[in-house]
Amino acid sequence: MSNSLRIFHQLQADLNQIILGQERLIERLLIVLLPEYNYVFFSKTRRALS
Amino acid sequence: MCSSQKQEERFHSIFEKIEGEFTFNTMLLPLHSGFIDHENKLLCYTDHFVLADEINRAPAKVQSALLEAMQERSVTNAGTRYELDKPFFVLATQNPIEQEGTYPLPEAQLDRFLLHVFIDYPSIENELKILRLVRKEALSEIQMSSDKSLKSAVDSGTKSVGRKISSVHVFEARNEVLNIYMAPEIERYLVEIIAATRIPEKYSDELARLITWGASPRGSLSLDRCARARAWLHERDFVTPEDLQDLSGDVLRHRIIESYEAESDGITTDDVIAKILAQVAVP
Repeated sequence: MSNSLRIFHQLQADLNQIILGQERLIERLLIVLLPEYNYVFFSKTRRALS
Repeated sequence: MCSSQKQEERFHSIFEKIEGEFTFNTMLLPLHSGFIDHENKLLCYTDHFVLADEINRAPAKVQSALLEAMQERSVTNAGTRYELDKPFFVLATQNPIEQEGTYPLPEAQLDRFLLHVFIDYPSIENELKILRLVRKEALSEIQMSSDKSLKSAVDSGTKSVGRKISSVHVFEARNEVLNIYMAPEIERYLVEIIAATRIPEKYSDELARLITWGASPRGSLSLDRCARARAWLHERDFVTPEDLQDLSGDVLRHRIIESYEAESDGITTDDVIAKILAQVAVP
């Protein structure tokens, strides 16, 4: 495992402790850091607001 | 570039200046950030990170200015061009209720976002954990308030907010992600998924009935980069079909325009993407 990947995994573990139950969202946040154009748009689902 | 204090002053003055016509609730991190206006446009420049909260409440010209910064990677003030620092990272949020007085982003602008991620309610188990965690934090704060030395430590910013990641590591990671192997048959699978959004009639009459416009080439590029990034995070040096399938929803959700028939039948873009994945042959 590279040093960069180890750091990303540590960050992922930290975020999973802070933002509970949003593992998929946190993985998306880390993915968005990796390409050059990294903009992400979040919206709550209608189900979550009903 | 101005000092942080001057930037903060400018930041506040512009918000006062535009008060009444501008409800764009924006938070900038870190503090080396600011806003500049030019010909009634509002542009932002920042070191690395912008959170545009409820972007659909910003007027079209403000959205346009922010998206121009995202596309061109620079902003201009009074004829001076400022390059945005790298990495430049934007998070935007949208609340799908209370649409009155909002300005939904046009499709071409949405296309500039790499991903569109839905945030759902937490599960019952996780909500229980949240309750306990917040209660524990509140108790901890009360205990710290009674201890002046600890309170002083918190006020001076020593409270831990988690691990940080440097730009150097982000660039190293990007280099590693670009070197992740994607087999030709996986590349073709990726392109077939995108093609199914553009020429759905090739796959089925049902798909053709549901889609008005398909994904742009930005969709292919986004899926490629995100799939590589997911493979890397999962400690693989090659991309699998599962990487593409897992990310297709977030990459394509804002890039497909449904037909009126689909909307009237209550079919969502996520449903359409699921149908595409079910119909495109997996290598």
